[in-house]
Amino acid sequence: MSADLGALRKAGLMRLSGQTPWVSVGIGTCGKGNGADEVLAALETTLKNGKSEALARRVGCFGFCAAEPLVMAYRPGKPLLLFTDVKASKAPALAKALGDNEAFAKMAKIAEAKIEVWDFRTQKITYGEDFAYLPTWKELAFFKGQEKLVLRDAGMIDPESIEEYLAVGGYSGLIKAITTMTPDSLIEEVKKSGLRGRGGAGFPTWKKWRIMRDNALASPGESYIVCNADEGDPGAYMNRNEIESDPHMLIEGMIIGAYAMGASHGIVYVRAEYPLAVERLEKALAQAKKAGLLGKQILETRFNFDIEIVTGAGAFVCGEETALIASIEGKAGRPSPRPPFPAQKGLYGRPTSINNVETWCNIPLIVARGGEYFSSFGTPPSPGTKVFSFVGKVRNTGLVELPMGSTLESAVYGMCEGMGPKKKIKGLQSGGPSGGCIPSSLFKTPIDYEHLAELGAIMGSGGMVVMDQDNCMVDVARYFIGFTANESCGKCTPCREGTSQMLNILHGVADGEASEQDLKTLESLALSIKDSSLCGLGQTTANPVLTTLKYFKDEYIQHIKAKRCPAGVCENLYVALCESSCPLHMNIPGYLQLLKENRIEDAFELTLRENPLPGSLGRICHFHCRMRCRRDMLDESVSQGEIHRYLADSMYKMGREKSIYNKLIKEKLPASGKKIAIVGAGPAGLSAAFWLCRLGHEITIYDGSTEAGGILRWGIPAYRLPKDMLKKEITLIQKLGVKFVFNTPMESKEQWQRLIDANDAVIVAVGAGHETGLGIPGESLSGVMPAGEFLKAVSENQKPKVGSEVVVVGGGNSAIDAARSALRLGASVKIVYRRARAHWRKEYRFFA
Amino acid sequence: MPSTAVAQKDGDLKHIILENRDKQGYLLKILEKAQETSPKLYLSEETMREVAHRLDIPLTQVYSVATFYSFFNLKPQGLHSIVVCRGTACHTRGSLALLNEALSMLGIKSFKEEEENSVTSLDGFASVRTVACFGQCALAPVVMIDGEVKSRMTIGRLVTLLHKMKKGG
Ligand SMILES: Cc1cc2nc3c(=O)[nH]c(=O)nc-3n(C[C@H](O)[C@H](O)[C@H](O)COP(=O)(O)O)c2cc1C
Ligand code: SF4
Ligand code: SF4
Ligand code: FES
Repeated sequence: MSADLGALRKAGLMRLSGQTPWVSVGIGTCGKGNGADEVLAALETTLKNGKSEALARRVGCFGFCAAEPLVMAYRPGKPLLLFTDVKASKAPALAKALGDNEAFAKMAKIAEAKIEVWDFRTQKITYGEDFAYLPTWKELAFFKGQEKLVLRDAGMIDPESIEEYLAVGGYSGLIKAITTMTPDSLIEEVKKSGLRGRGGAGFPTWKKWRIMRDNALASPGESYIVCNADEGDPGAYMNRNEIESDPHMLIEGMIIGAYAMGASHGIVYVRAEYPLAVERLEKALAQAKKAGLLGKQILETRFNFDIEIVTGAGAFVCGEETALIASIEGKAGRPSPRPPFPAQKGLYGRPTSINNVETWCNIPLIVARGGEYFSSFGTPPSPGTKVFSFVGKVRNTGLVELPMGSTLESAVYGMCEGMGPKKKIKGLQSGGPSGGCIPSSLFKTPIDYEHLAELGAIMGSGGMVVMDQDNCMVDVARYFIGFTANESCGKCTPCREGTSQMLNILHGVADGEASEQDLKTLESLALSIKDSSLCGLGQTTANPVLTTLKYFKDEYIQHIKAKRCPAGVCENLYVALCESSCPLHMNIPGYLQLLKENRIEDAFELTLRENPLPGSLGRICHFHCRMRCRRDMLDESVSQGEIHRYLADSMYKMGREKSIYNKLIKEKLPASGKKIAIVGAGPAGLSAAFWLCRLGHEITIYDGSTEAGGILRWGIPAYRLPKDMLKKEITLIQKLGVKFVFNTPMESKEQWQRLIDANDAVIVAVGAGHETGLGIPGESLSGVMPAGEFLKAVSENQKPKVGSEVVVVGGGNSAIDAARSALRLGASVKIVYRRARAHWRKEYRFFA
Repeated sequence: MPSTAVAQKDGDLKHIILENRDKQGYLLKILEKAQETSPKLYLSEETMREVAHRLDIPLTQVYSVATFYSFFNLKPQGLHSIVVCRGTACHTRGSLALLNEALSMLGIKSFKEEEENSVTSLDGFASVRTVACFGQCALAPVVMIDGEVKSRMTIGRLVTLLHKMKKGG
């Protein structure tokens, strides 16, 4: 028998690292969705037609889902080459590269990375060294910091080949367990590893096994172990991938578990949406049986154990242990009260132990390499690694295997490379419907059971959905409660009725019809559902509500008070995405319509009513509206700035703005008798004056400099914003009756006191002109200058001395203004920016 | 084309029941297979009666299971099927808009996601359903059209695909 295994192992090794070159394509569900099947078919045909001896191999998923299809190429003695985003049209070139070392070296030039050695943990394969210029796979951002224990085979071996699994040390844990260990010493080894359940709650696995073994011994007869592959958390798909890429690892883990716990039957409960996982698992089970590793007299001992698959039928609650058992028994999957616990009375009333897919998958390694090897990863309370799916608003979506205790930050901004400068990540949702939302300000948190729970979230099965400014947190909470309201089995009242009540309130908030009292009701409802529900589903359903209320309360308040959904998601609370994202909430659809009808004056009037400085702002706005423009998906966002500018420039040129100014002046409300002082004559102060003055208040603006405009006047160079334009637009504010007091820097407490005493209100609109600096040594050396100071000198026409070579640190607005100004002063300029060129604002890339 | 299943004969059902009655999770397996092989992809009352009768279990148990799990259809399904993922990753990437677009293109007026699993257009042309997650979240949003998973879906692409479907392409 073992001779048989030896032959299989050898055959596998010949395929993986023998004399025959090969090319492999990662084929998991993700790969298939991205055309991996076509790539593999094209490679097969090309190799066949070329009468090549090289192989086209199917392998599992390497985890880098965003870059699928992923292809690797092998020639004996050379490193593996890794290619991302491969199209079927690449097949001829790839096939050719397998033919000789020269062509291979040429192909290496366009590879993404290389793999010189691969540590299968139970085996190491050295492929070869070469191509010094190519980064190794570990140097790619996505893989840096990952530690592949569970995913050690994924993407490297054919999941449908037991030979290849054996070749990389597969089933060596099982052989060791059965031939050299007792059940008790196995449980002891798992205890040493510190492994905790990967299905959510993190219960120590050895304890579960111990209890189960004791119960099975006390009550002779059938007993069951179950693999929970129901993976119902939307956003999590690591279990699917673990089965699809390496089904034998799961099988090996379960056989070892059965031996340790003395179980006679194994069941894998897979959700219905994972057909490929079921197919591969079925094949693997048949292979294992044929090899004598499963079934009767395993490895020629007296140990018998078999595994069956049950496919679920789409009910989230069936992930709960007692519901899962009911479901296997052919009933509706409704949970039942515990005790009795499944380990006492489980499936058909017999002792039953349930573990998550990934928990099982960790077992072979723990046995083969020892518990201490495993616990050398991660942290003492949470040893080992965990596979997470990072999805949603990040550049690199995919499966990331991290040592426990890594920070969220390292994963979101490191491996997943964030979202770039255009969008701001707001937080992430961890743990699915039972989990919570964590704001980006807490991304320094280490990822492990305790730390996530402290924040009110849970690790769950490891789904991490990243959200950015375009996601509304009220909508997120509403979405999750909608999900659980739908999935509640209906057995107990708090969960059934409570979730639908929470949902009603959340609908109200999203529709702008809720009050602050409703938020209090929402919170108390959430807490009582948590306390009084029968099963885990109800007990955790409130987490998304509680965490969004805790960390994103301001969004709820904006929905309630301002009746606005800042992200532009809740349909009743915004007009258009651009309108919603513009800080002035300009009626963009409105003036566009007027413009379309060629009513330029009316369009200008509508613009002016909301934006007193259209000509200036049109040139230098931060253009929030463009970050959300739907047109972006077609070609490019609409430049509202250009439209403000066009309207203003044409009106001023024709001198037709006067009648509109007069109209605004006439419309002024009667004097209110209130006096308001505004400190700062920059854009914020001017805007405040514009609206308050029209309401009939008496306004005085104080400013430390000699003219109005603030940053517009002193920070932005004239070639970007002509000073005449600014002056012209400020006259409107003067005409409305606003008084200006210049040369009055606010320096003393008494000055402020006097202002406060003499006015009904004081508005501080001093802007954010303070230089923060970089916080690195050498900033105070001579010749180093903050951009603001430099730009101010330029706009005062002082022609600051810059020398012949200038380095600008940064790539934002001020940096570019500074660079352009220095260029105009005759220097040669270099821009140093921390982001990649591709992540830089498009309109700036052109300067470089 | 959607299912190529032939009309379900008594014999098929009998066979399915015989083959699965001793397996773990037998009732789910039998109902799943019975639905798969029925021409309109649903469990009719007769089918459920037959299953209960042959397994010698109460009809209420069969009905309770058939209504509990979202995978089972109790109404005949349309000729084509469109499944929109409403999982978190897909939701954050705009799957609600895709669902609404599909519904409106098929002339389906209302669909209460929180109450029903699927809805079929009046002419029986297509059924639209939602799913909690396909496990392809990295390529969200995901839509399945006649059994084929399409990832990174946009409204534009969906409209094109549905037009093609309507023209019989
Ligand atoms: C509503 C609900 C859904 C669950 N879904 C899953 C699931 O999809 N996969 C899983 O492994 N555990 C799930 N669990 C947790 C399981 O009940 C159980 O704790 C776990 O499978 C135990 O395995 P472990 O000790 O290996 O983590 C869920 C629990 C609840 C309450
Ligand atoms: S908490 Fe919800 S899902 Fe759990 S038993 Fe009660 S009603 Fe059912
Ligand atoms: S350019 Fe600025 S002010 Fe104008 S609509 Fe866009 S964000 Fe608003
Ligand atoms: S959330 Fe849509 S595939 Fe997972």
